[in-house]
Amino acid sequence: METSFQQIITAPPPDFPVLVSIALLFLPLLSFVVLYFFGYKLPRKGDIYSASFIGLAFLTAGWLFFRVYTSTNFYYSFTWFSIDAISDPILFTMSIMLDRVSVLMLVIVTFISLLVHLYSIEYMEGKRNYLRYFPYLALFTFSMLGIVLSNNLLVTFMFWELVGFSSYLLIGFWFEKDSAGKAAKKAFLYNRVGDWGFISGLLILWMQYGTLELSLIEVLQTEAPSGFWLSLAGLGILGGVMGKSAQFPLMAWLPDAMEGPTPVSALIHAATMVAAGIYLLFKVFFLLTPPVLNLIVLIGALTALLGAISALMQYDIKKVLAFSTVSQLGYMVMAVGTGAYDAALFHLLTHAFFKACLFLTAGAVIHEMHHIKKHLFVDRHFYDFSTLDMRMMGALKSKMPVTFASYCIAALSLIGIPLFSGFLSKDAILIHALNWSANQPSTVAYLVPLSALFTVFLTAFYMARQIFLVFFGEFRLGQQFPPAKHTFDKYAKDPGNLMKIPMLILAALSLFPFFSVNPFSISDAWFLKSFSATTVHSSGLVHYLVPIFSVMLALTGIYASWLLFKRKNVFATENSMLFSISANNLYQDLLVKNYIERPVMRIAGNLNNLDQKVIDRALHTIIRLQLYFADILSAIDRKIVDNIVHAIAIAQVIIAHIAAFTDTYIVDGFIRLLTYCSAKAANIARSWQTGGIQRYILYLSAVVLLFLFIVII
Amino acid sequence: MRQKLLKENPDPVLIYYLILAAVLFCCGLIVVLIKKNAVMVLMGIELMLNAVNLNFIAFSQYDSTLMQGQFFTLFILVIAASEAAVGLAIILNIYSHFNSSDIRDANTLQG
Repeated sequence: METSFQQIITAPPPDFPVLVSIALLFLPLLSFVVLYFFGYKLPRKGDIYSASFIGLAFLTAGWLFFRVYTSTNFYYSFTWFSIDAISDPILFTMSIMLDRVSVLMLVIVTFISLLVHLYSIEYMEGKRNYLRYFPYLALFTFSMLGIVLSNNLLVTFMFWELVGFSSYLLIGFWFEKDSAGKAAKKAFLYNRVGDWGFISGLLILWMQYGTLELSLIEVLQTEAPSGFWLSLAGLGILGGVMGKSAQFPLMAWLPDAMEGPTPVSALIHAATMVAAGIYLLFKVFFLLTPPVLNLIVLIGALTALLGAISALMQYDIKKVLAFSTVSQLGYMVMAVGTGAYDAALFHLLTHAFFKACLFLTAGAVIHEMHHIKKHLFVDRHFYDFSTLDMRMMGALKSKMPVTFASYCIAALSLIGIPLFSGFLSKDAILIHALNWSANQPSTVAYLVPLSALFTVFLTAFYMARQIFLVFFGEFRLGQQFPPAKHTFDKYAKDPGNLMKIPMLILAALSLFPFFSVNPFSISDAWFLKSFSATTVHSSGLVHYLVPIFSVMLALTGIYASWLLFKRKNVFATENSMLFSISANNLYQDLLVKNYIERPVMRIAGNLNNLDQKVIDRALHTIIRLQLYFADILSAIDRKIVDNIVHAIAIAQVIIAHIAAFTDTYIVDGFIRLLTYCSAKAANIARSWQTGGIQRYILYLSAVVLLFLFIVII
Repeated sequence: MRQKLLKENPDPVLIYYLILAAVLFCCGLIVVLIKKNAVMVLMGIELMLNAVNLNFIAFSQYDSTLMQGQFFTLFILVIAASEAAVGLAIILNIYSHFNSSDIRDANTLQG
């Protein structure tokens, strides 16, 4: 207790930027509280307020960025509470770390959140539950900022769970739809599986170091490294990352999470929530032992490849992007595993912009398809089709030029074409993966960069396929249902400014000048330079070969896609085995159902039987015995204890009667006698005072005579 | 008793005055005690005063030079006259208050 007081007293007051960051953290929470409880009273249900809160948060984050990025880090920790143990009090601390990466993350999160808010104002207009949408967004932003700021793993874990919860709310936003509710549940459960690993890792760390304060662990770890437990803790935290960042084998929730509103997907599943895992890996990088790092590389590479394969043959416009996100997250995780956490964060940064842009533009397309559906309905043409289905789209290029341009820029950035941001970050990852494999003892390690390069090809293929399907060719809905063609010609257009401007901003941020002056070389990227010891060392030949090779692969992918697209409708009619493997996400859901869900259910059923037949019976016997004992005890109670109690009660009543008698006749009687006597005396004295003057004179005379008589005689 | 008085008082005449005064005083006292009418009571008081006067005069023969007893008697006569006037006024008020001059009706001072 004393030590904690001492710490509180002697702890220096937080620096001004730390206070600002705390204020920044609570701005979205304030927005959530205001909108959730008073939103229905505000004009336009408070969406403007929410957007301005986030806008303020973004400005604050921008200030913090310029304050911290060029100068020192700020660190502040304080005691949250302490538990008195026998020897030492156990301290639970909270801490805030403002370093270059965290302020950059603050800017990304608040910026994308702001754009998504603005975009949503138009996109969600008139949708059901509009009132609840913005508070949820604000809550999510709050949780995400908490993860970014916290330097204590326990607090990080709390915000981690909050992120999971608020994403659950957002994915299940249209909960009237059965599939949305299921998707939200699935996302939550997959995350829980990962969190189980995370919290196990935290417990091991606590056991080893007695604190979850990252800066403390970093110091302690250099003094006493303990290989086995550290690896185990790293594995546990990796589990959490696998859940949150949708890594194999916990990747199946992300495509389903596309049931949420599209702006939500842009915020959560492109820029922030899934990036939280990468950020956490970066934070705990010093804890990861070589075996864990190798596992991370394996998982990352596998996820990148599997995500890309699954994205190949999807028809749902958002699911392509979702699998693409899975694949790109795999890249980042792989990069962390190879030690290039700076490259991973760089890709996280570029990916946040171009993937959010892709989701927002996809949202614009979906929005337009909704409009067409609505106009068809108004014109009394009833045709039910999915507005997400790319088989119904096509030829949107001329109708939605702005959307098309943004989409192309972001997609080219994702594919990794020079002049775009994605090229720089992906290049860094690939080069480092190659360097890493060159340093490994086994030649098998070369499979990792090879699969990464192959993923580049696949990425180019599926993104080109999506662009061709959505923006080129014929308007296929019009072919299937002729009246739609007329509606399409008449109504299809770019969305309004509130949706267009965020798209354009993000598209602009997918270009190279924001990240590097030289579009062909990663060595000029300011972000990578900001790390004191950059991990990307590119030896001459590799430095030129890898980018050239990857660009060639990407172009080949686009060309292959173009060739297949030219064969009419090849994407729409493909029905081979390879196709169905990709379209069904490698049958992961089926595998989970057959090999996890069914055995679990069978075990649960058997356990239920065991429970009913053995445990319940034993419990019943115990209960019966208890009842029997209770009967005996009850009899003892009635026959013996009760009689004693009765006797005592009767004795007490008798004593009470005696006392009452004494009181009434002796004590009271004496008092009454006294009063009687004094009353009598008073009456006698009174009777002498008759008021008759003559009698008084008589008494006077008699007394005088008596006096004289006594004196004389 | 008479022998005893004579033995103690050398002047034999004085004793008769004193006896007369005592009888007069007792008459006045009896009148005061037994008469119902307030006026009669007042008259009884006058009798008692006169008895006292008689005593004063009787004793004044032993004071040959100053005649204090006779002067005192004159004072008492004047005071008795004024007292009778005040007494009659009181009686008149009592009558108007109680509608009676009976002294026994004026008994509101009783305890």
